[in-house]
Amino acid sequence: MHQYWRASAALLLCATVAWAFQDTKDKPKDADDPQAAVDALKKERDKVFQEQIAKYRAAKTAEEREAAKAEFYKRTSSLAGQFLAIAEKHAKAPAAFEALILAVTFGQDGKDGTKAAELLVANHLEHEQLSQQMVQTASSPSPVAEKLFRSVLEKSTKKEVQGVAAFALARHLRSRSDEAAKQKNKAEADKLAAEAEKFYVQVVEKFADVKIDNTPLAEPAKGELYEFKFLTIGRTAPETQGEDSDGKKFKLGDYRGKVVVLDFWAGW
Amino acid sequence: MAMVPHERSLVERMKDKPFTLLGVNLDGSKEECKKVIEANKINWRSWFDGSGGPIAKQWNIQFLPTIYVLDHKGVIRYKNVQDKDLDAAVDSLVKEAEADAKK
Repeated sequence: MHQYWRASAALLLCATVAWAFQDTKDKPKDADDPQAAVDALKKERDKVFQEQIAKYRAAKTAEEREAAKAEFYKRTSSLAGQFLAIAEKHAKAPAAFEALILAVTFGQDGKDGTKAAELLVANHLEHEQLSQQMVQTASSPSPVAEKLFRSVLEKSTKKEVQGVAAFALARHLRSRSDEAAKQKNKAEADKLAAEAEKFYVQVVEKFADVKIDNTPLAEPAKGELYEFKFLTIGRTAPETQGEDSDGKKFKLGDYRGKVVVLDFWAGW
Repeated sequence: MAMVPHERSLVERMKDKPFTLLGVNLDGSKEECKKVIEANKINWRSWFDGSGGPIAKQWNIQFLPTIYVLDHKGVIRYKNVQDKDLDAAVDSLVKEAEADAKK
């Protein structure tokens, strides 16, 4: 089921959980080793994730879930400053790149994240993992990610990197638009949606053959653009038809007049 | 599958209302799909779409479960709501449908 790789924007906490368990290694190192400092801070981040996810899952009402989310953002954005400090102290170390990416991921719209984005563009524009990391960071709700993607798109001289930056930008703006819509901030949601659409179109028109994970960007970009334009709240659902497991045909339109919960599911 | 018991009781609770739950099953085969429906006493109708099937493609499904809630006019009103939020969404839309039917 490799196509289900996109993180859920709806469940931000769960979406970012992939980060939590990624390559945190136990390696005893001296205190001034930048990689050891980054690893230690990632452990701290894992702890924050686990605690906040437990709170989110235990929440009984929408309000409690929102409160768990807010606390999560507050705790992770304080980590951003600490990641940035490591990167500034050891600007030339390989670990600085990862530290800056993490500072952007958790930086929200604060000065630490902004500074980290500037340093990434200034010092790591050629980093071989930049594309991969931008896609990961796209689902971060941190608005400073937008600054990073925009400057990479503008400053990079490589088409492959520009394409991924445009794609990450589209996806990032879209997930922020969804979030704004959920908060009932329609003006902001519409503004972000229009911007997101612009970059999806740019990916399809200019960077269709740029690949990420061996898939041309046009594929996810087209699918996401369609979902975004036609499968959003307030749109009429497209006619949908098929057969049940006994081979009997039926279609969504048969149920007009009834409230329909459409549930995509599998037994695995 | 974590949502199944809740959905089963929602279907039961709404059986006399203008409401239906429709599934799109993405298991690997029809046999597998039937087995899961039986084993979990699933009380709603599902299209068998198969892994990465045409309906899932049409709806650009990226993760499971994905939930859409449509009103009685076929308009998408909620996405990915669960548990109590799903109940509240369905309750308010069913009220709208009933009010419209009386007009």
